[in-house]
Amino acid sequence: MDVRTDYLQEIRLFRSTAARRWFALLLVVLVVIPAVVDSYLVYLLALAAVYIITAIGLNLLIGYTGQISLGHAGFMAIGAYASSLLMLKLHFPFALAFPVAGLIAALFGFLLGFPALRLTGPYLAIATLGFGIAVAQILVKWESLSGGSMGIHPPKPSFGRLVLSGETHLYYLTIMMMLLMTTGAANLMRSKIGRAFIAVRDSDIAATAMGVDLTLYKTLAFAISAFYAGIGGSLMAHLVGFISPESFNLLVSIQLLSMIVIGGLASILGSILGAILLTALPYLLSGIKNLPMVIYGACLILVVMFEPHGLRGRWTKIRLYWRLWPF
Amino acid sequence: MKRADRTGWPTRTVGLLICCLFVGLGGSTPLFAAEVGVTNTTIKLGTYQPLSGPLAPYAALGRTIEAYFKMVNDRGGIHRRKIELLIRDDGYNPANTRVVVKELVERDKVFAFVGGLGTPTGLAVMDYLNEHKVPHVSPASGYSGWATPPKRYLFAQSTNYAVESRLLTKYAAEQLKAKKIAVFYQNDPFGKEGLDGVTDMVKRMGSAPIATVSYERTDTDYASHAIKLLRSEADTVLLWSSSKPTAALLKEAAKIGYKPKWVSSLVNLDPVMFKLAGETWEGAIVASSYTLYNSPEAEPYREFMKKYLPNERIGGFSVGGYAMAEIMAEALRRAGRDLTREKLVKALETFKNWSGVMTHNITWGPDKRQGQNSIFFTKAEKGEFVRISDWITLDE
Amino acid sequence: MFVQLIVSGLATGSLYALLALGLVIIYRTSNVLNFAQGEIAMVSTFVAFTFLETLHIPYLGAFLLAIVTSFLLGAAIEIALLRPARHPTPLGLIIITLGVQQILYGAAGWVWGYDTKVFPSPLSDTKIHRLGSVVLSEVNLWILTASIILMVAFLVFFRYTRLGVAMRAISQNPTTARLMGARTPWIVSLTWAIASVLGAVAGILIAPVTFLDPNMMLNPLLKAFAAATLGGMNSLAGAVVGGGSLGILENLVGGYLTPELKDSVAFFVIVLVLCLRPSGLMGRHYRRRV
Repeated sequence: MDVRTDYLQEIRLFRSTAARRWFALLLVVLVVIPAVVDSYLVYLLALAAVYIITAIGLNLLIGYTGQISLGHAGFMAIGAYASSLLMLKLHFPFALAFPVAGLIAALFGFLLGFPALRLTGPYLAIATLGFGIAVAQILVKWESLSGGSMGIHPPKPSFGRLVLSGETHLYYLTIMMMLLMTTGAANLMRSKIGRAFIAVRDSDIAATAMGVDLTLYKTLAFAISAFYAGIGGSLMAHLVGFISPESFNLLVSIQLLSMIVIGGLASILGSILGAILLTALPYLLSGIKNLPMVIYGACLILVVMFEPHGLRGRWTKIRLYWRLWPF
Repeated sequence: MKRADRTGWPTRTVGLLICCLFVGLGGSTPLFAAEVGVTNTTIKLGTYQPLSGPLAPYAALGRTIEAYFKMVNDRGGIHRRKIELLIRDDGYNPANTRVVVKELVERDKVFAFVGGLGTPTGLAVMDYLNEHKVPHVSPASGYSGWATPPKRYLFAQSTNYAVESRLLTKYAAEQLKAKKIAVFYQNDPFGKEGLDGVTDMVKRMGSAPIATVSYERTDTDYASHAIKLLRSEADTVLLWSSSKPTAALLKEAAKIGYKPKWVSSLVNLDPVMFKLAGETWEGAIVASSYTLYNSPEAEPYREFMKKYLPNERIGGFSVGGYAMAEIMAEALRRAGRDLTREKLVKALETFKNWSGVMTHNITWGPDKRQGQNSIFFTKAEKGEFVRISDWITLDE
Repeated sequence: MFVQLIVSGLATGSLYALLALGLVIIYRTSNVLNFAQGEIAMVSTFVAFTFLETLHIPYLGAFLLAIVTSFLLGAAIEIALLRPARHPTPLGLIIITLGVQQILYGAAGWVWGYDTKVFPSPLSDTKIHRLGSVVLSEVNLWILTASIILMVAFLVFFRYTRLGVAMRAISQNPTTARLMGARTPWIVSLTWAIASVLGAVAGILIAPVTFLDPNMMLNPLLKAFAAATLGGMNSLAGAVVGGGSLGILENLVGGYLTPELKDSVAFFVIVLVLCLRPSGLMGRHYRRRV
């Protein structure tokens, strides 16, 4: 079972051969999906992948490092606008614009990390809330740069002469990025940095006492989390084909937060489940007017009250239940 | 482990639900027909509306389109086909619009769009719809970029903001003898187009707006805006603003004793203004591009509202919805029983000075995608809008 | 013009102050940012509206009934949702209040619709009083008077009554307060009830000016956060001062610089305060022990 006998097992990426096989199967399924389902579902899955990337980034910050952010839509906006504007105004190729956009977002995350050093809990929540709204407002007002509230059409991504135009192309791009970023996060959490994040979350004073550099790791957590959001935002811009400050409002930040809370804090699997569920939910509930808000709200409350580990916690219990069945 | 036992059934339920979710997403039904969204007995249309969020009141427009087609269906439909309208909520977020429109086109396979609401939302899907050859009739926004340059599948209808704002300015200067014109506008695509139009027209008359005051849709307090206008000593203020801020501004202005001539864009041709702004609305001049909702000619519209939408307000956004729906219905009639998207486009191109119950003088042609270019003026008098001018157009 | 801007700024500022005051007392006793504060106020205002328009109860009666409703609503939220939370981390509590916010917002749209409504008021908002060159409308005069009375009464209550002292004791150290005989859970519920009453009063006072719809409190709440931050999240007087000065500052920026930036002032304030003096103008910073 889940009993570990040495430390190496603790930090292994795949816990068992079965896990490796399931992962291989998942890869095959992800590759063949576009051939099987209609283009709308492919698009929706690509969108879910974008949210998975962003949610994992947010979970690194909130779940693992214990630093709240209510302004993650701001980082997405920075990533989205940076990659579009680099391509439109400075004629960067996509392959360059897109990682640079992530780095620009990371830079902003790093800077936001500094005031965050002095702030805890609610103060940090307000600071990040203010940041998210400020980004949207600056984008509205800085018209010469961002096109203001008219929004801009990001160009289609391309590698050399290969232009990624249809859903299928973009799907493969986002899924690839999603797998890459997910593996990156999983690896990060097994490393010294990841352990330091968790130490900071559990008690920053104790962590300092153990020799964890708070300044370094808190700002690093913000930077990495913002990098993920920036990459997510950039992919979203090219996937949706239109961005405006309206697309990155407070509601988006709250939705990202809901994803990781409903999915499960401090869990990569949780981020994935939450992102998929909340991407699908609006389209499943589209027939019911007004009620989506109520259902979101109720989900949030119920999860916090009864299942603090979210869908991931449920999933673990389901597995446990079947493993022990019929006892 | 004891816990796991206790929570046995909910876990299975949750598992089942997640399974259902994927099955639900995966299943789609292929549809065989001569044209996408058209069967022997139905035509499927789509629209995107802000059913939720801050702009939810505007969705009255979508509900009116839906009710109009219900009326059409009750009367036997068009060429023996019933019309089905799918309304999707985008919350006025362009990124959502893109997704719901994709769903309507690729999953629900709608035949055409009618009255999709908003400028940023419409911009997000303009190219997509045109590339997929899905006709969109009368997007509910007066953005001038719909028709310039013309796109084959996009038929802009109501007089655009650029033309309307110039006509408004011209009327203020020539008929109301405005000497010092100020603009109060919403800081978004709608407001900016209005501002540009007014500025351009005032410039052509050899001067400049004496003050331009913008607001954000999220502002709560309009005292400083009113004071700014008062200090400019403008004798006429052109309102390029939605109803709530307009009413709040007028009240603030009344408080500080500032009484210029208020001249407003057609957004405020809504009886709710008399409730919101009270006495301060008296005497305001408001543009209109549809038949005036309280005029004798609009009797069919009022009867329709009483019968099909007894809870909606007469006037305001429902007028636009009615107009868009009647244009669509007329186009479908002209396109004939053997319906295709290309035939719909051809049918729309035959509109020449067509007027319905609420619409006036719509002309489209092979290279012309802006349907209407005319407005008239009304004045707010004793709780009613009264028509005070003929239809006028910008002669250029 | 300067004085005029300040006077109108104060009227809006007192709305921020009332909301911020609610945020601060909840923060002090339950250590949570209450994102539902605005929607509780909005729903209470709608309740008052229903009593007035649908049930035709006179203004004072409707006002009192709405206050009672909001009192119960606030207490109910605390008792039903916050108290039973299993592992009350600050994040978990924030998320619960966000959930309440979404439910109340969605439910209000569902029940009352999104159309803008005119909130009937016994006061005329175009009738004005002149003080030299400054004009003050009857509504604004009442908003100012009512909120000042309410705030003073409230500060006195917190400072001098047994209950107020108990509330302050809980905010400093819940365990000790409990040992000293304060009935902690009930007092926490009571603070929620009082906070929502403050919100309801703010909503009913401002509704005739800003009109009534489910969105009316979305932005004022963000401003109230800014006001509370400016004054200091754990200072009652700070909330009042923060609200007032934010209202004035916004109007001065709107009047002298450009109205375009008016809405952004609050967020500059948040950033500036949190960078320079995180505990706010009047807040105190408590050192945490391991």
